[in-house]
Amino acid sequence: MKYLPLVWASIMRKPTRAILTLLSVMLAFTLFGLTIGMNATFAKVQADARDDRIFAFARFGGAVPIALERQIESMPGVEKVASSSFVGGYIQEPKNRVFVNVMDENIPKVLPEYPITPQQWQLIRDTRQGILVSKMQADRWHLKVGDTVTIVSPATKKLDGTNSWIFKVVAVTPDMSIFGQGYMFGNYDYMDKARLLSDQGKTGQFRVKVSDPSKTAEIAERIVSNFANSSTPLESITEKVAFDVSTGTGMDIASVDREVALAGMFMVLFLTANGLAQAVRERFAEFATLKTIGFSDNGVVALVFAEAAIPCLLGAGLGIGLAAIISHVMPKFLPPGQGLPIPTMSVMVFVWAFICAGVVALISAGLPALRLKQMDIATALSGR
Amino acid sequence: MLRQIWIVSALNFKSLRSRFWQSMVIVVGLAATVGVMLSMLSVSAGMRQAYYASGDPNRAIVVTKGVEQEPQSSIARAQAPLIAVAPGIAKDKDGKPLVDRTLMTSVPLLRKDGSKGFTTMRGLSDKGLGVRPEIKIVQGRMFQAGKRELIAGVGAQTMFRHMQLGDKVILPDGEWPIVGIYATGDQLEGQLLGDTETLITTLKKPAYTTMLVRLASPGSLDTFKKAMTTNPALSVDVVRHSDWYKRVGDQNAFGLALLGYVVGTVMAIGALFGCLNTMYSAVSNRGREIATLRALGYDAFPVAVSVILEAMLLSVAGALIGAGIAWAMYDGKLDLFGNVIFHLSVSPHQIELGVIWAAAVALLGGLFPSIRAARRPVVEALRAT
Amino acid sequence: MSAAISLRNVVKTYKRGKEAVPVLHGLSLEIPAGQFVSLMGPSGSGKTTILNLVGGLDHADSGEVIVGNEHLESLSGGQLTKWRGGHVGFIFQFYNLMPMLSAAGNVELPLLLTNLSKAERARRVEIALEIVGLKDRASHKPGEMSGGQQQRVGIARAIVADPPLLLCDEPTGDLDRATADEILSLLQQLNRQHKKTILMVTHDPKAADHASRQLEMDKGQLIERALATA
Repeated sequence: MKYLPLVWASIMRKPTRAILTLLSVMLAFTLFGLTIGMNATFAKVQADARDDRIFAFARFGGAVPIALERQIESMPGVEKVASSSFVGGYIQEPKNRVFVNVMDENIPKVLPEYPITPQQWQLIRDTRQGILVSKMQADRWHLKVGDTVTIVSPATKKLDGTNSWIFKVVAVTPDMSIFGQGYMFGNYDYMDKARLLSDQGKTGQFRVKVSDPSKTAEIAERIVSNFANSSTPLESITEKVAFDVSTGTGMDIASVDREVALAGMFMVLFLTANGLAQAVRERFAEFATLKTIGFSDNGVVALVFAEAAIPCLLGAGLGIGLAAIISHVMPKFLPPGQGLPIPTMSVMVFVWAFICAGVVALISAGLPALRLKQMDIATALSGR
Repeated sequence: MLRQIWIVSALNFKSLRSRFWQSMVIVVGLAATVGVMLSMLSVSAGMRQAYYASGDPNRAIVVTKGVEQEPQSSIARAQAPLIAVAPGIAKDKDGKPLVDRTLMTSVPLLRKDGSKGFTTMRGLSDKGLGVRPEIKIVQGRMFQAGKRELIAGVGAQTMFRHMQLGDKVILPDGEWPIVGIYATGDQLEGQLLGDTETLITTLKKPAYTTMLVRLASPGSLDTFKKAMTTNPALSVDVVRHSDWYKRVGDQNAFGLALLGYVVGTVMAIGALFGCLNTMYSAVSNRGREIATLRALGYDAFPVAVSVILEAMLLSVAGALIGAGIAWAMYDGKLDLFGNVIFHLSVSPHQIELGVIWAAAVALLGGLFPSIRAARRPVVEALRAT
Repeated sequence: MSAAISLRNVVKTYKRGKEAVPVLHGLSLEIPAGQFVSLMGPSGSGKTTILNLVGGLDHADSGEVIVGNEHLESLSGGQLTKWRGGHVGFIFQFYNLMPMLSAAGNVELPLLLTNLSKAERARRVEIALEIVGLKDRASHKPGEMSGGQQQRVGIARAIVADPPLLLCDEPTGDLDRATADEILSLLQQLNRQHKKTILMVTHDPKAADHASRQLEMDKGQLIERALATA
């Protein structure tokens, strides 16, 4: 636009102030991107959750006998049941925490949407010590196919008296949004047979696939009631409910995220409104001159709005970009199982950012614009 | 020098009214920054408080070697007597060692809003109350050893449905009634307690989870620890209870505290700019005044200091307002994270932090304007409108 | 291109807080097209008011203000703004340039309101700067120029849209004698060669002498001073 040089020159009158303002706006939008991006990930996970699957696990904590897998499968309406457990420990130093999810051979049938090919699943059946390592974890621990990795797990004691578990990397597989820092999948049998005798034959949880999605909730309740009086009572939760972030942890993280993003926007508003009010105050005579030249009231107001909008929109774009970079790098520094997912910079995140930037610019320009519209040119000019 | 600072500052203060709205910018900016920051920190602070309070320096926890989270620990039944005879343990009036054989499991419950939730169900053994004297029964009575009875904490009662006296909790062998409600003043209040041996039998658990011992004196930890770690039949770690919970509290609260500080910083930057703008305006509006003072013989330094003092006064006022609002809205409120129930905390320590934050913003935001006020050539300032 | 100015029975009162200060009481004035008129008078006599009314910056309380056949008193604020852009050029005592724009950028401002292409705008800016003798200073900022040069830029801006009327408010008030003379000669040139009607308010009798007609305001009354030989 032909007015751009004028607006740009106005913004850059005090270059230091303009740059500092831009950096601050960028920071606020980085925070925006990370929090709203996290909500975008939550939304995706929730949307991806299957309505025909149930988690089943020990009602009173601890492990469940793997024999229950066949029993659950024999219930009417249940198509397939698989089980998984995990070995949690560290690589070399306690601060290097890792988890290996050990799966049985039914997992690929119950979780077919996992980005792992049948050939890759077969690799951990053929090589009992084998693990599939996701790209993020492979990068973090510098692992490649063929490497041997020893995981020390104080909570999982072995038959031989140690708690060092030796695994072999058989493939590097794609990451998934539900595993925020990546994953490692291993063979359940390998773990089970190497454990203390008293711990064998048990698993952590069952994944139950139901044939008719409309019956999922009903079957989940039946699983609880069927085993209520057995030696291992079960608790169940449908996948849809489990991945609903607002009820999951008891704290509505999604709305906390929104509040944080809003706080950042408030800061930007404060900054921009302040800066603009000051600028208009300082340059009142200049605006009066523009009016004498023939710029209309609305024209002058539009210039002021543009002066607010350009740093806001630019800051929004840069801020979201920085958030994207941080999201990419974040998993390398956070310990796994921290609970927070990696933010996704979806299209909606960008859209919301730009909308917020626009709204903030509008509000900031509001009061100064009013003053400019009401300006008495003659008085304004004579004042200087 | 001090006198000059005082006089100039007093002059500033008198003329504050003419700069009311601009000065409000600093007050509002800092009220918002400190208010939001303390609100966010109230969660991590409260959570940490709840954990810290759970640990007692007169107690030691015995866990499986290498384990960092209590539920992952497992102490075989046969090992319990070995631990009970160790030196350094306090004795009750009958001369018996004060050792609590703890079982830790979880129990699913319905939250007040109807969604499914969990809390910890903990087994207390016969010496349990002696080891944990902080458990006070506030309603009903304590459960009896060997009986299928439970008591619920006041926190659990607030967070979950069916936690009144007489309500039943379904366990594998039937319904267990809640016969009492207890309070402890720490995160234990969010749990359910029952008799360890009875729970182990009902739930068919293979072992105890951890052992909690009352030390003869805080100093006896070393003796006890040495005995435990040098015993070849045991493979355990011994940690002072207060240290254990300090670590757990810090770890669990870390992420949330970090978030609070990040948000506080982002907002402080906005407030900083507000401060800068306001003080620059203030300085240029009073250019004549300042120049006259200097022409009369006042040093540049007191002028500069008075500008920073003004900024600090406004920002600290804002901080206190924000802190006050955060305190009124959040302090003491009950909240839930995972299955830890705790009270949000806006403590004097945090308010102090907020005030320091505000003073720092004022210092940075007032610095450049104050230097400008001091350095501007007197003649130029006198001539300007 | 010139514009004739007619003021008929113009009344203007200012409100200062609760006080009403009458400035013009039924003033009438005829300025034929192409005349260079100077207007002197003490502060508060209303000379700046006349300038503001003729330039459409202010509305009279009653009476007619006709510039180039346009009845300004019947135009709304928005219409006045539109009219101003193509019909009047203002020249101020303190230049009122945008400090962050170059000379060319400042001069271009009135043209931004038109539909002219970028190339056409640049061409007219060059012409205007050449007329005022500042072609080689086009890229300099006001901060890099002397008072006289800044005023030339102000004049260039005032003429770039080729308005028939120029209104000057103490154009030489901030300049030394020699520079003032240069500026006034330039105004004369714009009047004689480019046929612009010029109304100049000034304190300085020597500046007033450059005009072809001199008026003086005294307590709301206009007095003709002298007709200098053109």
